Amino acid sequence: MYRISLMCFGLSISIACTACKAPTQKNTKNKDYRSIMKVIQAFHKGGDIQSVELVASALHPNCQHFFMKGKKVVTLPTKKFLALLGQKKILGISRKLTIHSISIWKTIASAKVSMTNPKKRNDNFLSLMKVNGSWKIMNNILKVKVTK
Amino acid sequence: MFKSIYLSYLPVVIASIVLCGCRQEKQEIVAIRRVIQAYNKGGDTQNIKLAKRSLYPDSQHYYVDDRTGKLIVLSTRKYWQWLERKEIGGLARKLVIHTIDVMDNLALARVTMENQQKRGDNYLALMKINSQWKIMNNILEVKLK
Repeated sequence: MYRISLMCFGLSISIACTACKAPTQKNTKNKDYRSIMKVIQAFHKGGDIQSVELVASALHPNCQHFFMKGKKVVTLPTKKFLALLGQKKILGISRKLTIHSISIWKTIASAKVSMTNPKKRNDNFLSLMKVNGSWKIMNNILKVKVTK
Repeated sequence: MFKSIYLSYLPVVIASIVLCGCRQEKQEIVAIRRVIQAYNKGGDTQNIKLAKRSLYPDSQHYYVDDRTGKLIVLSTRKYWQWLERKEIGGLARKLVIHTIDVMDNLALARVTMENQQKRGDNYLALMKINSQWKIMNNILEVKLK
């Protein structure tokens, strides 16, 4: 009798612990999702309106962008990307952002996104990391397709 | 008459296009798996040839140092140097490829490399360059056991 009541007590404690723990983990993950979405939106909007400040807030200074130009790979460091954006040499055209998926593992994450306008379509895989409490884009591989 | 013949072949044509697409994606996944396995084995056996085959020279590795909490940016050229001098790697790790997501010439994989001392969870970004898949970026979370 004593053993059964002890087991019941243990079971109820473990259920209570799980119930308390599960929403907390879920809340943290939801919070991370929201933060990552905001970072991607800042990167997208910053490009559209050519705001260096907004784009710089989303990208880690050591982030790299890779894309193919013909048969060659172009490696664009973030410093160069921001310089070109500041000189209004790239982007500045409104694009529709679609976030297809976000995958998070503790402090690292990846996202599959598309940015399209009537002239071209960009498909990107973004790699992100939580650095000092904020999510930053660490890498961007993209495919550019001219539609018109 | 002709229209009905064309229409009767339409499902076959659609099915073969879908099957071709699936087979193509399967082939890409097999090729990507090989690249990831080469990267893992290259590190484990300190084999520079394998490591060079899988990594793009401009790629980078990002991780937070477990002891200092600082972000480390390791260039692939430096990684190769350390591997060649046997300063890193050399310990067998169990490789688990959780997911591979392919989009044309781009791909993303989530993998775990683990041994008794530590566990590394990675997101690898890959690109198909001149018919060969290469790792363009590696973000990882390292946890000492």
